[in-house]
Amino acid sequence: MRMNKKRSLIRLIAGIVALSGMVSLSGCGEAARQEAKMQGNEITLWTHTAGSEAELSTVEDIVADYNSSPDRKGTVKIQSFPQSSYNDSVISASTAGNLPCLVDVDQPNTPYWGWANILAPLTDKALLKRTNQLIGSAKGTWNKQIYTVGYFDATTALFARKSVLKDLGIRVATVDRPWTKAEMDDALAKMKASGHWAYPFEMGTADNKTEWYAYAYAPILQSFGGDLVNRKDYQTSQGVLNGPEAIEFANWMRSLVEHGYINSKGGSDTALDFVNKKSGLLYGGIWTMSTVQKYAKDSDDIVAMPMADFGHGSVAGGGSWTVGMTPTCNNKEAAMSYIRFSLKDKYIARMAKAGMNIPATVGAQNLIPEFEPGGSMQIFTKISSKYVKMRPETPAYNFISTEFRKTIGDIMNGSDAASGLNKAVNHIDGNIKGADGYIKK
Amino acid sequence: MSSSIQTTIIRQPADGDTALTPNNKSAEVIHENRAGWLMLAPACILLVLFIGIPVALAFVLSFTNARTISPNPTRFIGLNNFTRLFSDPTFWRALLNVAIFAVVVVPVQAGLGLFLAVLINKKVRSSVFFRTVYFLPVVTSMVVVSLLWMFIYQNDGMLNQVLEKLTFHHWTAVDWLNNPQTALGAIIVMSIWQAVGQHMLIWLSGLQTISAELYEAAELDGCDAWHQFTNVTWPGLRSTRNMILITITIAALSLFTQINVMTQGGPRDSTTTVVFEAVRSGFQQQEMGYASAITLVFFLIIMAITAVQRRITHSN
Repeated sequence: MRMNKKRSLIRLIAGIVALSGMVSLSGCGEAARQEAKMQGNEITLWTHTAGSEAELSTVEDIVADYNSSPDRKGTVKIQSFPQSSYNDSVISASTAGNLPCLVDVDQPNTPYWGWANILAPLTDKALLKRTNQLIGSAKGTWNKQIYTVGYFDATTALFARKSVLKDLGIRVATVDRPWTKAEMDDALAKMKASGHWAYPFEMGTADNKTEWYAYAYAPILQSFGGDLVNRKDYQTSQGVLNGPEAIEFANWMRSLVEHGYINSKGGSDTALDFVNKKSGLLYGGIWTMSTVQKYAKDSDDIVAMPMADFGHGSVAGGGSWTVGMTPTCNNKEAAMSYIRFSLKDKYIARMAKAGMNIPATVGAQNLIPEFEPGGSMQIFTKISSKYVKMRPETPAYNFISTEFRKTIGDIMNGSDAASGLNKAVNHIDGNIKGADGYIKK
Repeated sequence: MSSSIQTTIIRQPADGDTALTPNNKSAEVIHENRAGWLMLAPACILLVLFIGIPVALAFVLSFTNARTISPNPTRFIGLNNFTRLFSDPTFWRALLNVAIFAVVVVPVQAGLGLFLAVLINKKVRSSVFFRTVYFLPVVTSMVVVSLLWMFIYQNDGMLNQVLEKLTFHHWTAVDWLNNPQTALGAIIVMSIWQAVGQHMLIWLSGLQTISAELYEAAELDGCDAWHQFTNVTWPGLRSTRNMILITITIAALSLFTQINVMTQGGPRDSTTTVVFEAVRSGFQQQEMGYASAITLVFFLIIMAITAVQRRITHSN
């Protein structure tokens, strides 16, 4: 009987094997295409822009131009994903070993993906030469190597109405003279006292599922004198994320809630709320301007200013979407030639204009009236070039960002600052140790 | 194949005959075995593929430092994940939250479901209409329900507005989901509202299996409505009751969607749950080993609770 049981099991397994064989046979057409792809030098570009028509159509145009250009080293094919599921798609493709040749990368993820063998450093000399002409914040670097390049950069700023500031006797901050901490506190107190708003200040506190907290609030922490991680060797957050400056920062953030300046869970569309005068002062991204230009009737009254200087200089967020190459790409030459081709000023200008972001070269800036000297968006170029501080270029950043978000959220809701930050530091240091220091062997 | 036909032929006259030779008997067993295995195969394969392997993987991974993407080889780190887990106050808070959620939701949702089921079990014209109304939230996706209730719970949302009108402006608006005191309660109320229809339907099917004659007899014996309920309805719902108890408990313990959409575990861990922590560690923070340790501990807890429940319901 045991024999028979065994035999029927064997049959069962044989059946499964036969079945799976059939399945793989039916996938033959796909395999043939893959083969052709390799022979015909077709390379695939994954982009996160499926939700943004303007950006996607620009990418499509660049690819079409490249595919018909005489210098092409291969044919590029686009596959677009919605932004919300994009990172997960790349990570699962990497575990399954089906990465395309070219991928979009959110700049702060570059070191993590470089460490995890999703990205390969760029090596082509002509490409690197062009890369050197880009603004610093449009590059993804790690281990002193360039992994990704971007067409544009975004940044953060304060938005207010000149008329409101004037009525309340508050100075309009300029790029050369941002508010001091005292001026910022004074402005908030005056706005609160005016009684125009339930919460006069909006800084996007409801956005607690994305990277916004680390992108926008870490610059404030840095302006206080702290940081997310010790940038000397990126091995610990001890002393920088839980030092006296960081505790001062966290207490200040909590005091915003305690004084009723901000809601610890603000509106979901902060730009629109600001346009509709639901808040008097907004701390937001450069993309706020798209909403302002589209919906605000008093857009001339609205002014963008750098974030206040809390003692160590004003700091602005930096790093946006970039493009990089995977180590498994079978035609790296074509991949890098496409990237170089796409970095022409006219393409950079179109990509930047699609999302109203800062173009990555001066040449491209001069192609867009808003970013030309005197243009309405030029202030952001100035803020970014003067105050930008990149997010820590370490593979641990992804983890640090989630810890920072939770910790600051808890502190704004009343947790103790020192113990919360100590806990975050312990988690972060544990994570770095668990990954053997994120050192690439 | 020929042997199996043979055995069937031989089997026919032998039916009910105790003088079956040992040889024939084993042949019959083989035949039945083969058919049995074949019929079991689809279920077995799926179970192994989608439950067995993942559970085994989680078990193994929970003793390693596995990460979703990493160039470093995964290695065993002993009980490190578990010591870290048990020393994390957030995990204990998550357990407490889930316990509170289950302790409130299980009796209230089951009781309310039964109440609604008894109400609409009456043969009146509008009962189909009410059945549909009560069932509507169940067929609506939890994500959609959560988003809608987020608006209801907002500072200037519907709930605060209604309370303000009812109290003639004596009510000060509460930010229900952003207040550690009210967030979990708000989620409990919404969850019960969403799922009560489903359990109402299960109760209803249980109610309709109780023979009408029993009620007639009870009426003849002079039982009022309450006595009919305690002496006929309640005992008649025994098996339905057990099933509802276990399904609600398991569903309550694995609370996740509402938390993920509405609060992300906050404010200050007041709504975090075990499953949410596992997903956060595994997917947001990509520490698969640690996340596996959470799910393993959770798996053991659910096993224990279900075993206790079975014990209790059986001894009844």
